[in-house]
Amino acid sequence: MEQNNYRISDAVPEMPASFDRRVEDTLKAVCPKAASERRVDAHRPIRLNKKAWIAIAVAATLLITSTAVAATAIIRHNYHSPNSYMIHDRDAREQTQQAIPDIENAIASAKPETGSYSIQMLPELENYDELDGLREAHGQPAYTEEDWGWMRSIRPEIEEVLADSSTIIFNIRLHTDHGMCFGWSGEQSIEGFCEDSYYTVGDDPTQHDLPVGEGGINPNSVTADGATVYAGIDIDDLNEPFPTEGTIHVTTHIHLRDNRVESMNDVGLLAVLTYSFSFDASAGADAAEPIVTERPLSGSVVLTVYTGHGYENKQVSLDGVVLLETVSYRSTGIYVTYSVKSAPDGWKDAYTQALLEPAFGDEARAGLDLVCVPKGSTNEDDRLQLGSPASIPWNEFICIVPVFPSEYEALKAQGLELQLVYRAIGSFDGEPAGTDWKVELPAGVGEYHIRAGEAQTLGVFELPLP
Amino acid sequence: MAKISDDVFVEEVRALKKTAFGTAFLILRNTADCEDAMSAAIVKAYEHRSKLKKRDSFRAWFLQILRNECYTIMRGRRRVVQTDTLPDPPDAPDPTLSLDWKDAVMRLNPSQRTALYLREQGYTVEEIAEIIDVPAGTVKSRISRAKESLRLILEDA
Repeated sequence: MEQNNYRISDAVPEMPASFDRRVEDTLKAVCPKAASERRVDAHRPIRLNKKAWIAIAVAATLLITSTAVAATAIIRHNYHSPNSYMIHDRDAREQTQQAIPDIENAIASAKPETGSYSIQMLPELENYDELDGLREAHGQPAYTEEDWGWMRSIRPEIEEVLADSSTIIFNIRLHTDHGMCFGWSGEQSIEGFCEDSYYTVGDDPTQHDLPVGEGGINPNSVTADGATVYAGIDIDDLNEPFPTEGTIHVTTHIHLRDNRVESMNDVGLLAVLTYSFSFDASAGADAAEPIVTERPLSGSVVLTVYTGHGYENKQVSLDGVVLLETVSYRSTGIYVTYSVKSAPDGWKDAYTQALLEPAFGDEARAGLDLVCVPKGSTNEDDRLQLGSPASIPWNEFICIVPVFPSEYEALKAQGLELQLVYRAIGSFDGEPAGTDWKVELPAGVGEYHIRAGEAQTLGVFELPLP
Repeated sequence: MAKISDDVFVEEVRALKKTAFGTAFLILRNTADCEDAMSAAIVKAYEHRSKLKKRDSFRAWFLQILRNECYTIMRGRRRVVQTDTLPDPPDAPDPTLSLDWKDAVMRLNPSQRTALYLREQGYTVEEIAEIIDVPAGTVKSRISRAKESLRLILEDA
């Protein structure tokens, strides 16, 4: 199958009439006069006045976001991951009251020190001929000092570092006197991405790779006098454990590229800025040792197994299956990980993959759901909104419970409960899908609708708090 | 700057609704949830329309609000899997066989799907960066990786 034959929109169904109706109804609720003027196909009369409709709509939104909960010690955070947190600078975090003290403390404790830098323009790079050829092959004009020489005056300065046992994120401010030149469309607009980064520890010159997974000019940071380059590294991508003490010296090569060139390779490369800075790693220490607990399962569960040709619902015995639960107490949240520690003969890796496939309550998906609520609560609105790391191996289930070290003590009296729930496919294209159901997915473009079936509770555990 | 008028607001939302549905669907994959997200986004956008600096930015601004509502509805149940690094279980058949396009797209993570979809819809990298709240470099990276992942998934299908 050729990828180029299709578009992503081919995977999106036609906008249903119900969606259109909902848009119109909501528009009529918030601005009835304007919404009624052009439409002649009103679907149903709006009898409530504007204020009443807004009140209803806002109430519905509040129900969805579920921030008003029963009296518990839980502090609700609008928090999804360390990356999403750090993409907003400190001022923005404080202005929007999203700042989380424990993460702010970890950032502050890293105490980054501004180091040295140098910049090499395109003609000064070792592989200039190759890069120049690349530009020409892609129809890019040759580098000229007249166009790009001003970049020599760019000065980097480390702003913030967040490093713990799950992630390393740093923000580097690039100062310029050239006006608005970062991240946005324009004749001389550039972007920056941290490539070829490494770190050393203390006086040991041994270099360790720092593979930057996410990064670039943070659009929220662009001003006339500069912009901030963001870089996020997943600890799991490192070749060895990241130190939790000592001074870490980071060297990164910020590739400055022509922003008009839509390519992640070096077609648009204009200069390489080499920058070194250091920070104190002790800020990244976990708040407590991880707690590892074996969770034996029993009974049976209907799993939805991906067969390679389609899906199959299969009743599988869980007797003898032992999950390993690892709870890590990080400044960026409590990370809960499940993996299969042991299983009886006949258990297949495909069952592990099916069992640990995270669905997190997605009604259009089979898989595992972790529900975290105050102990004893039966109110669905009390569920904590869990986050997730940037990537998860196929044989693990990982989520981030947005509870931070300074909140542990207050939560201990009530406690938090983890409910492991699995849902197999319950219906496929409107047809019920019970035990032993299977389907072959058609070749080529197809469309089908999956609904998750009934929840099967695998276990209820208390989340250990140190 | 004064708030945009109700007429302009309605006009802009109507012009956007197909793209909005696609954006929401690629995250939520559930029509009912898409409706809830869109409804909440309209209310929120209307309430905060004074924060919109210029009309030209409406699309990106609104889709960012919509996307946030989608993720709120997901309530943290999402997971992002790098499909190009997901190993196949040793006893599972080749997952590329008989794989259809939709399934391949849905194997991308929601951010990759959204970035690719919006690019197809004619949004600039900068607008997508604003919508999905990541640096422009990350948008390019995600588009690039998503294309590569699709290529790998579909290569032999």
